[in-house]
Amino acid sequence: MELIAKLSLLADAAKYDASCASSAAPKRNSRNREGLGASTGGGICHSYTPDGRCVALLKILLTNFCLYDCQYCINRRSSDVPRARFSVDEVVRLTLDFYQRNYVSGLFLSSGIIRSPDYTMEQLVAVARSLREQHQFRGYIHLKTIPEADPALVAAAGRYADRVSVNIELPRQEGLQRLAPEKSLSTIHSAMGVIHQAGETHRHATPSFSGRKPARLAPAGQSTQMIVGADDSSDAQVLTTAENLYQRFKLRRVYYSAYSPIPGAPGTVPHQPPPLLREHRLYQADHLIRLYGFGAGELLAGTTTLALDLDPKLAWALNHRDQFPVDLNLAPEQLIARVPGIGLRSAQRLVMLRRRRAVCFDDLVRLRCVVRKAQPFIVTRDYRPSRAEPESARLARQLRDPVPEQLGLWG
Amino acid sequence: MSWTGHAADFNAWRDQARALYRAQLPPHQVHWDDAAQPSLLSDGGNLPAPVRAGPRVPKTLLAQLERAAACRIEQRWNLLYRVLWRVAEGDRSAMLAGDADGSQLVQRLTAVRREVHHMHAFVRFQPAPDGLPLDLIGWHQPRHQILRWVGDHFHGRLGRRRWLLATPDDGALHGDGEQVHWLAQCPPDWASAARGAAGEGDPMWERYFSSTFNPNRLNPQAQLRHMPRRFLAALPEGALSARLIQATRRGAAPEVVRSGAPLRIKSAPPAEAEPAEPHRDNQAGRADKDR
Repeated sequence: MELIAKLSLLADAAKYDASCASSAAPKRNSRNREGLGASTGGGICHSYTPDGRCVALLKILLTNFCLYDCQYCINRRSSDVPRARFSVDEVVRLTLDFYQRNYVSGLFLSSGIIRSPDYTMEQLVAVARSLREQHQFRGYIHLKTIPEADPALVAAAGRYADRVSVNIELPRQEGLQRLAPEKSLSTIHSAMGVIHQAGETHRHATPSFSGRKPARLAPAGQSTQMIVGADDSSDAQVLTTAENLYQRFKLRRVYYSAYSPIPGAPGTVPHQPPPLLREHRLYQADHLIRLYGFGAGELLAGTTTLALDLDPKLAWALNHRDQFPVDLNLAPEQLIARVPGIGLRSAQRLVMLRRRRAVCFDDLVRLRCVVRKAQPFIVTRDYRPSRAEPESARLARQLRDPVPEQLGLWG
Repeated sequence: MSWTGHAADFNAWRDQARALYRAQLPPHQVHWDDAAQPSLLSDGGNLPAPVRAGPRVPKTLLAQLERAAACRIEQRWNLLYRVLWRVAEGDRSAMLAGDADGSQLVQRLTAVRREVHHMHAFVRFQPAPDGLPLDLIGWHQPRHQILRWVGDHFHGRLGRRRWLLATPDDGALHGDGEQVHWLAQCPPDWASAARGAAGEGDPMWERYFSSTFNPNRLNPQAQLRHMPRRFLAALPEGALSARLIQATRRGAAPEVVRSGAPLRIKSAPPAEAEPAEPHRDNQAGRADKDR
């Protein structure tokens, strides 16, 4: 099979994985050195496809042949998709070519399971080793880790890759048992544990005489992905699982991928996709958990589902009117960041500004905060919400985002 | 007394601004012109006599003013002199985003930073044609004068490869494998090679782009929100995206979409009207509107 035909099939097979980050790697560059590639720590999105997703890395499978029969996956062994397999060298050459043309910042390599988990993992590691050692490639490498593989191979992946990931796919063991019989939550957790432990060992390692620590395995940490809407897990189950993974394994990211119905899918999985808006709300809630210090329980407030028509921070604020209004001239930065319409950066800027002078309402306009949403929740030098401020239910109706009808139908 | 300053670049502006500050000419008495005087030297001789020392400002401000000056908009100097004056007079809120002047400064800095990031992302290199002492050539049209800030980035990525990155009106960068040089005038044969390469497609890239696209999640608005149309249109994936969107809306089979080929339809139905996309390039646009 021609290389271009393989690329066609194996990029198509890899696109259901939502992760595309190329950030958090240690700084490297190839200035006046043999080899190719750099990483600046930040991520770069080199293009966007018409589905609105970014292209940051060459995201492909080594092969889409697979021994497993995960019902939600297009590459399951019972699927009749055409199959292909790259050689190690083909992936290496494609990566280098795409990289130097500035299409991508590196490689994200995953694979179907062929022969055995160990054999497959060895092949993935071989690609990364060749890029790093033979070609002195210093760009970003993300390797998908096969949880059932020997922990020594998982560690080897971390030696060459910036980021490794083990996909949990479904938040609950029951779901996995039903839809992905070859997988188990405990195997997935133990693979995440291997990577987490390597990070901890490095953190506590004593520097050698020269003051250097040994290189860290997977310096950009690990991530995972959960498919949303392939089983009946609720938002609460999804977010609690995510929160748990963040705490237990110090994951950098959990990605949420709305289940895409696959041509010829079996009857065990839905034929309709979940609303894409649900995925969006999960990302927003995840963001609040990771960066704003919200707990999953706080955001859900006793329900199992995130509202589709309100962003989770606004929904939270409407449920906690007793904590508002917040005086922007007095409140601590973390509390200001909890106000709907005011982000972390704006909260920081408001605090910097109020050291010089009192914050007034127009400052929010100039900082490009979402004034409409912030207004009922704040006090400034020259502004205070009226005492007759509408009750939360009415406010919610005024501030809600319009939900496209077509999405509502799927909900 | 009032004064008209002329500056074509940051260094020229800085020298005059320093002299005007020392002559104690406040911003409302100074008007800046974007064009340089024919002879800067004779102009320099006419600068008003200093009556005080200074201006003393934090180093970070100077760096910020220099970056903000890269923002290609009309009347770029008036704001910079106002900020310089206010900070030197002790009013540091002029540097902060909540302030009337400060927010404009921050907007320009943001526009410049975004444009640098866009350049890191959306430049494409092609193998150079035989006969040129180059390995890779690229062509890019940034909105602001930021070329000199991207040299290090591409040097870091490309190592010892020899490359050229040319622009229509801000010169070119040349990495010779050891150093990066800014060429005010790009050799014409290099420039035309780079311009020509910009139009060339690459079948492998186009196939990858079509295959990694998921037709089930079609969302052209989101694509444009992240990738301003002026960049998308300049790249091969611009025309390709239009074909992918069309094929998806017509319900073409996955392998047809993946091939990225134009749809061939026997009895052509009327072309579906593309929904008008608002101009999404807000960030950069904001700074442009600033005066």
